[in-house]
Amino acid sequence: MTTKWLNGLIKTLSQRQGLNDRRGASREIPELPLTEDPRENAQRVLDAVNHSIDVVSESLTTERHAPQVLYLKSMIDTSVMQRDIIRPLKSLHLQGKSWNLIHEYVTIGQRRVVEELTEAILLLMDGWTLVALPGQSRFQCFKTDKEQSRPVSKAENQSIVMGPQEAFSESLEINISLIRKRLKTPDLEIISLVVGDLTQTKVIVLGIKGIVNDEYMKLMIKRIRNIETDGLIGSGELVQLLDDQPLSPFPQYNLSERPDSVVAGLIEGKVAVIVAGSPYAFTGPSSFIEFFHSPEDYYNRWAASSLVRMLRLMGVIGSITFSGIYVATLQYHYEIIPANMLKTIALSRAKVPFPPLYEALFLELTLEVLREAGARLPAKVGQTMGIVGGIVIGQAAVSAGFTSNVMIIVVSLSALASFVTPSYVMGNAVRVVRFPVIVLAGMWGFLGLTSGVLMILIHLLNLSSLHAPYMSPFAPLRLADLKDTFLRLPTQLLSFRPMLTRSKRNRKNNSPSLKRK
Amino acid sequence: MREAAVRHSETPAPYAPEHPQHPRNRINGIELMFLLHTVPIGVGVLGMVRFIADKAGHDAPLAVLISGLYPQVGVLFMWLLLKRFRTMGIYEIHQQLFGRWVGKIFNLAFASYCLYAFFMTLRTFTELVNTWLYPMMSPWVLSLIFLVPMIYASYAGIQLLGRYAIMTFFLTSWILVLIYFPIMEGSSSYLLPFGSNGISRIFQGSLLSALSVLGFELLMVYYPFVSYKKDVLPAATIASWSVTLVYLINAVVSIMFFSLPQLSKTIWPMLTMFKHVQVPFIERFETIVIAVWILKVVNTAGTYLWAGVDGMLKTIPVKKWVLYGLILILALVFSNALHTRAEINTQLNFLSKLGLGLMIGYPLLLWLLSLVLRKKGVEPS
Repeated sequence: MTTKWLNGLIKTLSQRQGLNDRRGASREIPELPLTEDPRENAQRVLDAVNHSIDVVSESLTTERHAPQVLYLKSMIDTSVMQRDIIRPLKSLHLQGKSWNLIHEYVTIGQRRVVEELTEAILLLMDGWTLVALPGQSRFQCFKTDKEQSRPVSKAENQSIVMGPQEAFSESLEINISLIRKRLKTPDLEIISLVVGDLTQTKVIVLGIKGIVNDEYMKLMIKRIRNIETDGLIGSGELVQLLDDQPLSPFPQYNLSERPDSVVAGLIEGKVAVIVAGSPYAFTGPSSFIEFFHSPEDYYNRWAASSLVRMLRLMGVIGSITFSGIYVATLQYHYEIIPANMLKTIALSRAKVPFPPLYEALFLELTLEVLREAGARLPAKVGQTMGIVGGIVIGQAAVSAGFTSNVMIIVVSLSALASFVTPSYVMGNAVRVVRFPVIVLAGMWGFLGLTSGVLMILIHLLNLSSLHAPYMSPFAPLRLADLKDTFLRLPTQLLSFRPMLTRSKRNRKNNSPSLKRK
Repeated sequence: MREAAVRHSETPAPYAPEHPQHPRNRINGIELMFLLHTVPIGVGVLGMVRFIADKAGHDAPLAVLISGLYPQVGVLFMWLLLKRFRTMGIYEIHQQLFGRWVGKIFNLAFASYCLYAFFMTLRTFTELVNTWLYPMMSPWVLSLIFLVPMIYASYAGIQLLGRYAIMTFFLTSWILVLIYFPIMEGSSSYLLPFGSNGISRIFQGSLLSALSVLGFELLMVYYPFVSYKKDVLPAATIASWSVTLVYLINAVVSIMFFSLPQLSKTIWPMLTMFKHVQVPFIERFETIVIAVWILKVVNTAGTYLWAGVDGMLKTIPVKKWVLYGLILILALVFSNALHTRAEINTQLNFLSKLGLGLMIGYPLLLWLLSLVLRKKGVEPS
């Protein structure tokens, strides 16, 4: 309801002339029928693309009705085009044979015959080479595209100590191959969609047939199809267009740059989506607890993983509440601090002129600014800045009497705790919701703090991802799924898929025995 | 200019968002069980032992054990009534039994009772906070702090409340560990001799704990939203006896910890007990318990609020947000109007009698009436 209302507001605010019409990419291309004259056909294509400098039209011979070769210089592999199209065609011509033998001579596998101008232009933009032959009112199209992309590199944002290190890159084909090489099953369904009128971005939806629930698959495809936009740049943007509740600060799909975790999601019965040009894939439906799982948990021994997972959860809870508890305690509830400790804290705060709330907000904001600056700066400068920030925060602020030592400890703890979240987006969300909690704690002490945390809790319970409950398996309570949440029990016990994915095949493996015979 | 527009034209759900069969409104047996378990445990439990001990003396645990029968009997009557009317809840049953217009009056009365219970929970808790934490704070400001999460939870509907009840249970169950401290300081000989106060006084004491078992009557409102009706009786039974178990523990520990004259002067014995919790880095543990108790109060009050609003929406044509806005304003106004502890206590006494009647007598009455009038629910096609 709120979304609808917001949309309406935005609409009324932008009700100036023309602002509301989305022009879209398909500026009407005059749909002239192709002629039998290659030069004329080439001219029509050139007109349609506004004689853009990277569109090249070449004549094969010097005759009046010579075949025309059209391609997008910036998008194709020129050497392939020369070797596999131009050279065979020239030799065909030298042997004095008919142009109609083109398909016997050209050695490129992916080819199409196109009779419509619009379709030809779409192919041209996609890196195909078009050949117009005399006497034919159609284009022979050959795939000669070359994608500019970096090679597969190490996962940097979701780096792990043990386990595979490769990450997705910007190339769709590489990304699919990274998944395919881990899933050699004919059941892997790969559905291709196109989003964005100007960008024509390819969006790939994956799911394993027979395991993934069709409803989720259909819902995902439907939502992607319903997107009407001029441009789609990356998966981070797409994810937000697919949310159940776009106003929430929490991510509702698990973005990952690691093919192994996407494959693990697919095996659990989730739907995965890859966007061309984006090194992040995402899976859904996702649950809240999933954002605190790292692939490494499955490489480690179960006890160690369980400990680490609980630490992460405590870190999150701490990161949301530590500063708030400090503010509330010092401002309203100092009676809960034992006398000895109170002395230490009072001494530390004696010189500070601000109430705890301002002190906390000041330090938290400084830390956020430092973090943001560190993230945007080049690595070399970043180090210097880290030192400067560390000294300023650590020493100068205290000796100048702006903050107390205890506050610095609290804020650094809560900042550290917020960095243990394996998912970057979730880490950011946690940092955002911390601020209202601090303010509420400053206004009404523990009551404000609890009611702030409660609002977050209720909001989380209210969330859904692809209509699946976000807080599963806690609420709704699914006891069997608790094995892989804040605990990670031995792999032998994890033989069922989570109920969240409502998979048709429930059992994942058959190794219930913990005793080796 | 890049502008993204999303048409959310997913398959329109076959049911309206308020309809019991809408997927966002269905609750399963587990959620029902937790709802029934957590809603009665609100503010009442903090002070219940004093009232019981006034009558039953050191036999308060026995009285509490007997008071476990009330919700159980009530649940049985409700089950009989609801089973007869198939998928209907109390609001539909009213209309079926009494006809459209008289039914509406009954609906409004029941909904008003729910809203009254919601308001009293809220007001009792703000009074408690006024006493323990912020003596100078005006009640309406406190009410506002609690009302925002209450309205948020209740606006989202029954499914969220069910899930929230589960979370409440697990997030507050650690409080049980704290009884270690009063037990270590208490003496079990205070509990003896068993039953020396006589059966009539124990029975009177059990009646006084009625306020703390209120919440089971809402089963009649939840019923249409439960997906498997077979789960209802076992879930409600488990819930009623687990509530009694919690109260029993509370009563046993309180009697062990306090002497009777001391107990009669303590308004919230449970909180006073937590004052004695000592850990190296925290003192005055009851501050934290009160802060955490907001979870429970939001659960209890939010659910009553939802039940009342559900009835109102089914009876009179009014927009949901208008109703919530109205309730917000009225709650703020009334929380300032009700001043003293004595006034609140009078209201609570009235509420507990009314609630006990609605929990046990009312479903029985309706059931007998339906037998006499030969009315029952029809199986939905």
